[in-house]
Amino acid sequence: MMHKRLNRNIAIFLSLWIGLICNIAVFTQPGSAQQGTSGDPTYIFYKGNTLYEEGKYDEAIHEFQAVLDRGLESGNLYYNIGNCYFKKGALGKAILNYERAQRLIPRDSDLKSNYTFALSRLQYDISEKTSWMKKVINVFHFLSLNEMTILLSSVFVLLVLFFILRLFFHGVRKYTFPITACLMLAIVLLAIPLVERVTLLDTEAVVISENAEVRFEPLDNATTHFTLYEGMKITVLQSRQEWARIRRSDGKVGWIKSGEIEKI
Amino acid sequence: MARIIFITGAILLLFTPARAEEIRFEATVSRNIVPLGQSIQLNLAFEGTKDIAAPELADIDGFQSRYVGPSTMMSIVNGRMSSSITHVYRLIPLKTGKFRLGPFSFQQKGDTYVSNDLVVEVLDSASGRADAPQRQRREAASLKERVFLTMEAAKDRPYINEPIPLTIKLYISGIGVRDIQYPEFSHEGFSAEQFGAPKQYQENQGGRTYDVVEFNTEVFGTQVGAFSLGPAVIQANLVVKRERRGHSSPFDGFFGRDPFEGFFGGYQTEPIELTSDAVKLSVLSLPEQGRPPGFQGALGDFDFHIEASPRQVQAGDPVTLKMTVSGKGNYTTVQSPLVSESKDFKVYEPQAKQEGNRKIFEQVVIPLSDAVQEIPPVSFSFFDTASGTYRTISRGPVPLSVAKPATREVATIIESAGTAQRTIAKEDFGRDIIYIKGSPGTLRKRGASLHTSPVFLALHAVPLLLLVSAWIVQKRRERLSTDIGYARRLSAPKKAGKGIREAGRLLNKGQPLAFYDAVFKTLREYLGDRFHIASGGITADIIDSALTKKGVDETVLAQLRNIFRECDMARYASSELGPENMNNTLNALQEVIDHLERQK
Repeated sequence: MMHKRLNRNIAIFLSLWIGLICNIAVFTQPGSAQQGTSGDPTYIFYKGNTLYEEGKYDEAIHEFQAVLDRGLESGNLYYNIGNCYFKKGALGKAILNYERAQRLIPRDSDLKSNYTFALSRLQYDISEKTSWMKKVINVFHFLSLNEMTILLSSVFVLLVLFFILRLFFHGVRKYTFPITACLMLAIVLLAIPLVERVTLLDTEAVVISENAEVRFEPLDNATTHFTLYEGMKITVLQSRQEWARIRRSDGKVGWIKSGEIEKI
Repeated sequence: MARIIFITGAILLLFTPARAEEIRFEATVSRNIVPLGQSIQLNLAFEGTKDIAAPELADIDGFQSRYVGPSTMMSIVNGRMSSSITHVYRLIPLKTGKFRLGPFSFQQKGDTYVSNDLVVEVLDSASGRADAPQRQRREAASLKERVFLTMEAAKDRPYINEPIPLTIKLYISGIGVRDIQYPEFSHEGFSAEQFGAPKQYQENQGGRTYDVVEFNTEVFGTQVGAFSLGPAVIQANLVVKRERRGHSSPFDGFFGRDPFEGFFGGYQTEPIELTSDAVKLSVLSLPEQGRPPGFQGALGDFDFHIEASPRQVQAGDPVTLKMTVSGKGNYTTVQSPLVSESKDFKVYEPQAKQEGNRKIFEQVVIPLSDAVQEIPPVSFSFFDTASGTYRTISRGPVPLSVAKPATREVATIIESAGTAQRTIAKEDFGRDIIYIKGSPGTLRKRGASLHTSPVFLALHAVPLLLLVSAWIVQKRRERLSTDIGYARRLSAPKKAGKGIREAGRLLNKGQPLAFYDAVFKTLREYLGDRFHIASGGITADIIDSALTKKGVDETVLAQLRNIFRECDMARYASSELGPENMNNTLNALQEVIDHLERQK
């Protein structure tokens, strides 16, 4: 009876915790005062959709961009922008926006399909060096950054709750080692990819120009080191005025004009 | 050497499995007559072993039982060592009468032990003493009449999914009940809402006034058929009078009843579980007859309105159709009214939101040509549970003014201009991207991630703070239960404060004898608790020897001696001590206690 109530209390505390965090996560919703008017982001979004259906992709992008300019974003919004660019033939920008959408709606099957399709249209074929760290991060690819943060936070709360229980219920103490070890392991396994993903947040970029020369030095007349193609994902190591030092997936490093890439 | 032999012997005894014939099982109670509202102690003693787990007590008629804990004992009589374990239970009587407890039987490792049986008489609390057996039978005696639980549903034949108000009432009369938990009840075949804040009021029933705590919620049947709701169960704590200890307080003889007993645990709480009767309900299905085609399961009494904005648009521009369903009923059954797609309109999935007693559906419709003049009528059907009939409310048509789409300056787009010129690594015939999303999804602030939110990060301090507080509470609890000196030391100033207030009251009343008694008792109790010495042993004569060792100042000792002397004097010649003396004594007492409290 007591155990039942205890389990229920733990469940209530955890769900309250997750509920509270989710509330912080969803920072804003379009204001209801503007509902149905031309200033309402949802309205602008629908207008963009209508333009897309008419084949007016530039105008559709213009409308979708207006939603972004209002400081709002959503996975569906980036997905639709990606579709517009794809239809326009700008594969780089399409992939860039699909990447952005993937950070918010990683499990969306339409997005996965379009992203793979867009990648299949690319002309390059460069073997990637996949480190063990990348493999660990990829395990959690189906979770968005916020979802991972909530998961990690919940495991932490569980651990603290367990220590509180342990103080009051002597029967629980014999499980101290296995439970603590499991929860600590879960924390480490979640924290590593989370930290890695956070550090990647501002460094990942996509090539948006068709062919981009990567040079040995940040100078216009420097020797070309290698070439990047539209839609390639690269890591930005350093930014200097109009130049950026980047690393390609096969590990090659060089300097590229900032305008030829866009950060995800 | 002798000690080593003793310890070895004791250890051997601990690990020697006791044989059944050597073990004696005896049941005793702390007393055989108990008034209702108090509790007794049941001891199950096993002599000849220390290795017996607490027996599970079967339901004892007329009592609620609770396991308190074990106590073990080892003794050596005439060179023979014996050990025993006593499992202690607290029994709370539930009704008056004579009850037979036991014989209790207990099985361990194939051996069965059977105890003696006992008889306990439960009397009414108002006339707990033996001199009023007649009156106690006349008055309502049972605990069940003083505190009980009822459960009522507003309707016994509801329709499926119809919300039914459910009321659970806790009746309390002339008894202390604390820490009342929210009720729990089984509701197979029903879905139950959460309880709102409970109401409290008084109600007269059968000539008795009850304090009523009322819990309200709503349930609705999810399956057709006869079901039983409940019984409802409430956990609470009953405040009962603590049983007087066997030994008497040293002050009993001199001052009558120990005045601190009531203050220091004359009452204690016992957990109690109250159960109501179950409620039988027959859940009816909705009639087939007269069911409108657009009916989607909504139940209740609703009103329905629609509005569209903007009403002046160009063909291809979105129009938001806002449909509001308001009224009373089960909103989980309310679905969006159907607006079907036609050659005139493109229709998106509606978005629903609930605001109190109304549900709003917002649907984006796009007029496809300037020939459109109105949004056609929209109907909403529901089943009115009060009248038992289906009803349909139709609203609209909503007039629209649709203009031709303005010609925009369109940038010339060459279809897939960029990709066409490139060498395509892989060609996929009949493959294309999947269509755009119809709704924007959850719009959030750009770049706002949880891991950068200061509120989110700060929230993690909450469980840590909880842990630290729990640790402090637990340490303090442990110390209070194991370190009697600490517990006494902690309670000393509180007890003294109460004594001083009592003395002050007696001073104002002008009762010198009682005043000095109170001062004497307060000081003796305080010194006992403060320095952890037996209170009974404190007299003016032994203050010096006892307190000098504890490092108490000579001036304070002198003051103490003076107070004790005045108290003694008051007993023999109280007339000589006027209000001024009493006042001085009280101040001196206060000063001494303050001084000792400041001293570490």
